[in-house]
Amino acid sequence: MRPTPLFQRLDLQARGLLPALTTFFLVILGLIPWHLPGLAVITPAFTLIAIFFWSIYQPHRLPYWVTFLIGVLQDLLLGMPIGQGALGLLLIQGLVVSQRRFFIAKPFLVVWWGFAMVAPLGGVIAWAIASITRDAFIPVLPVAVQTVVTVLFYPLFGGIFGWLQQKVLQPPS
Amino acid sequence: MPARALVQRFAFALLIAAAIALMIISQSEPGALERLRSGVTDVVTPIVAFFSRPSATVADVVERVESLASIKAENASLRESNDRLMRWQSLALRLQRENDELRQALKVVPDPRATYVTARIAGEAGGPFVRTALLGAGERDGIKKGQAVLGGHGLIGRIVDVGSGSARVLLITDLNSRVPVFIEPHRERAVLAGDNSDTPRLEFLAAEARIAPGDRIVTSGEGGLFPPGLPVGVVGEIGEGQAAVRPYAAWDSLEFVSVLDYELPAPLPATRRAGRFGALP
Repeated sequence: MRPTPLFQRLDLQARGLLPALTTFFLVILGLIPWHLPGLAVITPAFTLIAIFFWSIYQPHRLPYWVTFLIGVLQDLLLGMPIGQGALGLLLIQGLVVSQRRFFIAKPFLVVWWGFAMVAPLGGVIAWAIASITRDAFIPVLPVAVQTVVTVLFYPLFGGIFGWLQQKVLQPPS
Repeated sequence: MPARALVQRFAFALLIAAAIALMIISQSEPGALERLRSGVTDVVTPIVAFFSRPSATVADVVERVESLASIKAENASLRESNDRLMRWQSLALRLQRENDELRQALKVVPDPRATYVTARIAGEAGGPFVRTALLGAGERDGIKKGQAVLGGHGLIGRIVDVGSGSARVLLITDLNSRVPVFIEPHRERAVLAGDNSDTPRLEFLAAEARIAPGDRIVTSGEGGLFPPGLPVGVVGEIGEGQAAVRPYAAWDSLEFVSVLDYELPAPLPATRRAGRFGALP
């Protein structure tokens, strides 16, 4: 077997960054002011979508430490206690990775249903951590609304990620 | 393969522990990670600002199309309100003169003059847990921790975190925001408390407080966090011991804000109150 040429290896490695880069992009997306009335209240948990998707389809390209760094970055940027979002995302990723065999090669609707099961759990975990760090109960209704909106956004990003995965990561690992 | 799974499981546990450790540190020693936060915010804010431009443009175009449709009616109503405002202006000028003379007669020590820095909102953090905004201006533009931030017609929050080219505003709607206010016209005292919704509440109202929907709310300046008299909003629905507030600042159309530079008469002593943003300025 011939050794792969250098540029090809570099190319493969660069392509392998896709899950991390898209997740980072969703952190940025969550910070963009949309200038739409009422949207701030329901800003979806975009990063949860990316963590869920890549944990199923490319778990080795989104290792736990990357999720940790992205979570910490998000905490720093949102102005939350550092580690709060990282902990929530890691717990969800751990769960999804352990169940990924069930979702692989399943039709889109089944995966979406899976996300609809996981997203409330992500909301509850985030809510519990935030309530503990604040030492007070945080209103539950906004968390529920955010969860519903996040689930509704899943098809959009799931679709984009699926398309990107085919285009960019096609030489499969 | 099992070895790799074991390593992964170990890494997972380690990272969970690291996240918890970070949470404890940032809660108990808020100052420790402050430089990290402002440093990272400094680096990322320009990226967010770059991507924010198109969204601002889209909002702009929508607004412009909408305003084209109603331009005639708007013109008429503007003329009318212009006439009305002119009358108010002459009244205000007369009162100002009178006020100045009376102050002089009473030898009142003048309030320190405030100056502004205008900054673009580069990013916004929403969701159920926080309500903050990122500004594309920081220390090098004269922004300091603790300064009041005004948007359009009223108070929107205060600076809690400054980098060299970015700053974070804790909005008055954030769960952690508490602002001492007066409710005019009877100067009733209350605390404006955010709850992450678009309408913060008035808390610690006296049981017999004389307030009515539509009453104007201004900062009281108590505690020295904000200069007194900044407009905040009007009283909305009144309930048992608390009331909703409709802020003057229009959140959805806010693109620029003014950061107020104001010499506080008596700064609070440095406290080590634990919180998301560390000690109060």
